[in-house]
Amino acid sequence: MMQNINFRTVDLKKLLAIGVSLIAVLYFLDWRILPSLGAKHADTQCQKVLKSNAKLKSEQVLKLLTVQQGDSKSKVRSIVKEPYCKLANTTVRSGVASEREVYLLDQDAVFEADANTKLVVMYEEDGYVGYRFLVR
Amino acid sequence: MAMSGIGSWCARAGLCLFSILLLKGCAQPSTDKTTRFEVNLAKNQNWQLQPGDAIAGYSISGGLGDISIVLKGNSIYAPYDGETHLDKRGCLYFETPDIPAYLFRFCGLHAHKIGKVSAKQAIAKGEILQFAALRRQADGTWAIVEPDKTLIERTLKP
Repeated sequence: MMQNINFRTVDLKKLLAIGVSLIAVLYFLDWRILPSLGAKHADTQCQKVLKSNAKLKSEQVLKLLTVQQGDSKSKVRSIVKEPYCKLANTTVRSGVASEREVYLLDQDAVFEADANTKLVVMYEEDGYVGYRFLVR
Repeated sequence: MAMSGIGSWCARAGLCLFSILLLKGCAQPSTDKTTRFEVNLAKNQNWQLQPGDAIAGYSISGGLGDISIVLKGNSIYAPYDGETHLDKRGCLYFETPDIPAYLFRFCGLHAHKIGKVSAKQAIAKGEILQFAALRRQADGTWAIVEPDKTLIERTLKP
């Protein structure tokens, strides 16, 4: 009888220890690695891949810096060409549709960019708004 | 024998948890909360009195372009993965690479989460939120613009 109780205690404590370790390991593995939980970011991911092999060279990025806000999308596109993909259309400013396009970066001498670094270019009604580097 | 078994299991699990927490801590260095974030508003919108300022011993809770939302002590949540900053007036700013050239300002709140934040993570709470959307201008200043409802909803409902 006593032994039975002891065994149960041992099992419970072992289970608890295993459970704690498991939770800890899962916590360390960033939730983004876990596909089922990463799904909540669907709206910030590529909706449509346009040109899978498109990569920006550093001189293209430098030229993009010279583009003024409000310049046409075609002017921006003449520098950076077709994007890797588009993000979901969104509206940030009331009544103004915005478009976001994602570029991958070439690993060249000037930009020792991380392979995970991307460039997001934003337009509002075909006018250039700005860009941001996306590290994810 | 059985007791030492349990002891070593617990010790191992504890050590494992401790080292993982330590690693996690190293991987995400804590941000300096004393850093003062400053935003230059567009010249024609830079009113003398702004949220967080004081006049005759009373504090200003809202100003030009703010949408006041009765939060009733609830939290607001990061609409995307991004980063938050606190300015000298106690307003929290949220920026994200998902929406280049925009900043979102939250004034009147407390329990701020400053630094890198994940989408849907609580970033502040309070009784009344003063919300403003700022768009970067060509001259580097920030203009208050009319925000779309969807973005505010995303911030209020995780």
